[in-house]
Amino acid sequence: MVKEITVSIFRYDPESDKHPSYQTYSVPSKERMLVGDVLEYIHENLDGSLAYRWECRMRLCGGCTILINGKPGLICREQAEPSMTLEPLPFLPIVRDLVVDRKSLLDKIYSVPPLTRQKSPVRLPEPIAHEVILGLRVPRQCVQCLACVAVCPATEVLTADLFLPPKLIQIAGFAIDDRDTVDRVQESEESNLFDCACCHACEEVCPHEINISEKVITALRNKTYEHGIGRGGRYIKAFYDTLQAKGKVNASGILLRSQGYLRAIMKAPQGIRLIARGKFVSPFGKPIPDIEDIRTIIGPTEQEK
Amino acid sequence: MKYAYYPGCAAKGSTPEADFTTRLVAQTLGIELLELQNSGCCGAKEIRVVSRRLDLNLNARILSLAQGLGLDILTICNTCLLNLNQANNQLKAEPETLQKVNKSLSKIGLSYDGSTNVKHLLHVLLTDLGLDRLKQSVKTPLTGLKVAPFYGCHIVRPVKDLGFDVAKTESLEALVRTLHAHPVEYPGRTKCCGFYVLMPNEAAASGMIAHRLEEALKADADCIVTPCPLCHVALDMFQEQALGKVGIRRTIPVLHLPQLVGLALGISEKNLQFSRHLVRVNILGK
Ligand code: SF4
Ligand code: SF4
Ligand code: FES
Repeated sequence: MVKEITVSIFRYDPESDKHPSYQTYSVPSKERMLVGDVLEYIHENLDGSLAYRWECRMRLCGGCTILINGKPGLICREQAEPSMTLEPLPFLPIVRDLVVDRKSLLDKIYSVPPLTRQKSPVRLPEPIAHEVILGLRVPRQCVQCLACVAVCPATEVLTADLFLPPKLIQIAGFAIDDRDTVDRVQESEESNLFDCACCHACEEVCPHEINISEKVITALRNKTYEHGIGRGGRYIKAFYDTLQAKGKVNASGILLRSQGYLRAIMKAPQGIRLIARGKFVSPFGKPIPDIEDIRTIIGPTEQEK
Repeated sequence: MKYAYYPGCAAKGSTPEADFTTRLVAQTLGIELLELQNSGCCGAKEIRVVSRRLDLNLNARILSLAQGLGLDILTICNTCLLNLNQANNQLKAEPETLQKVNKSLSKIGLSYDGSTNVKHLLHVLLTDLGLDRLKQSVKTPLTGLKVAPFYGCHIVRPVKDLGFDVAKTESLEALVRTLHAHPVEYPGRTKCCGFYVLMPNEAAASGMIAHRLEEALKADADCIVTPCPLCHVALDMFQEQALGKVGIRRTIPVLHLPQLVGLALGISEKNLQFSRHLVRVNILGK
């Protein structure tokens, strides 16, 4: 007996439909069938009016991302499951059914031009260090499929002032290229680098398995810290200073060191409630007894890779 | 069952009730905890920004202190769990890095051999103790209590670093059921509380916190339970202001994992230290 795949698909044509609806189809299952194959079967055999996007079919154009059982994925990569719900990516205007208008987000990503800005004229041959090339491979893998954007909690809240992982990936790529002349530290601060919540949700859905937290966010934050600029750089320095002073960290110590007395005092009403509940750790408290051990192993001389 | 207990900075500072109730619950269940005195911070997500090597040094020191006791680590913080595991994996996979880190540790009379395992209280309850044994210890079944399991990120992701997929296996839900409570289904269970944005951008963090709370409220949960003190800071301490900003006047209590377990083990309300929370815990008698 032929096994069937039951698939419920989001249908909506903004020009003629009042509301979106879901339509269910049964598709004969084949071995190693991709979600894209299922959609193609429906389009060719059951319902020619279904709209979806699938172009390169080899995970490179980044255009075919949809929500598969609530999780973003490329239809040219993800295996079909016996029972699926397929929906368009969130955040974006719907063109029809599973097709969304990606332009607004792509424009924001490409506001960082995908070009190394070099001093002109470029002297040829152009020497590029091996490590630079290796490092560049990571950001070059990003195909702007927007899967990470769909799950990112920072993107979710910063609707007006967009936080976009793929934009930071572009910036990270140039930041490690020593031929590049743009101030990428400034650029990443302006792109809300420190609004990443370190949740790792993006990595779980990235079809190219880019380690965004380490290779992009941490790498760029490290540059910001080394330049000692901006709210982010100040915050990291305050954390490090607190740890060197006490061996442990607490919010009050970091606040005092990064935002100064004024901001710290302005937080006082919250502070008083915390004191009442035994939750307030004084920034002037004692360090841990083995503080010298901590200072020894995290001192500046220990930083070599 | 004996562990080197590493509560982490948050449970020693902002959420002392998490530390206190973990000890009570462990004692009740016959789990022996030997605290790693003096263990210091794991570096959270910040020290690796200064340098990966410093983060490794800090974590290797903690792992080595546990190795000295011949015990596995039990932590009650998601970020500590992930950091210790990531460092451990890297040190085991890269002998050269381990050698360098040991050079730093030698200056303080320590060395690490890669033999320490790191577990979260949730793993210990699930696998080392086992839910069957936990069930036998339940004195006050939490029948009728609707609980929103909130995992937090660093106990869930990246799975390859943690080696155990707690979310896919629905372990927190299973634990809630063991206590005779009802785990509600809702989309926020493995999403981010926003804790790490609180310092650099409180407004953005507040938005994330409000989203998570709204998701739990919509699912009609009586309370949220979390295995992470950092999530507790975000969801409890900042709840009023986050919900206020989006015009929601209801609140929802947030329990630490050991508090929920303790409740079912019959530990008194006073000892569970609900009075330390900023959001009133009004679930008793439900
Ligand atoms: S780790 Fe940062 S960039 Fe990735 S999804 Fe989480 S908040 Fe967004
Ligand atoms: S980082 Fe990965 S998930 Fe995000 S846009 Fe690039 S390829 Fe897609
Ligand atoms: S069709 Fe191009 S990435 Fe899927």
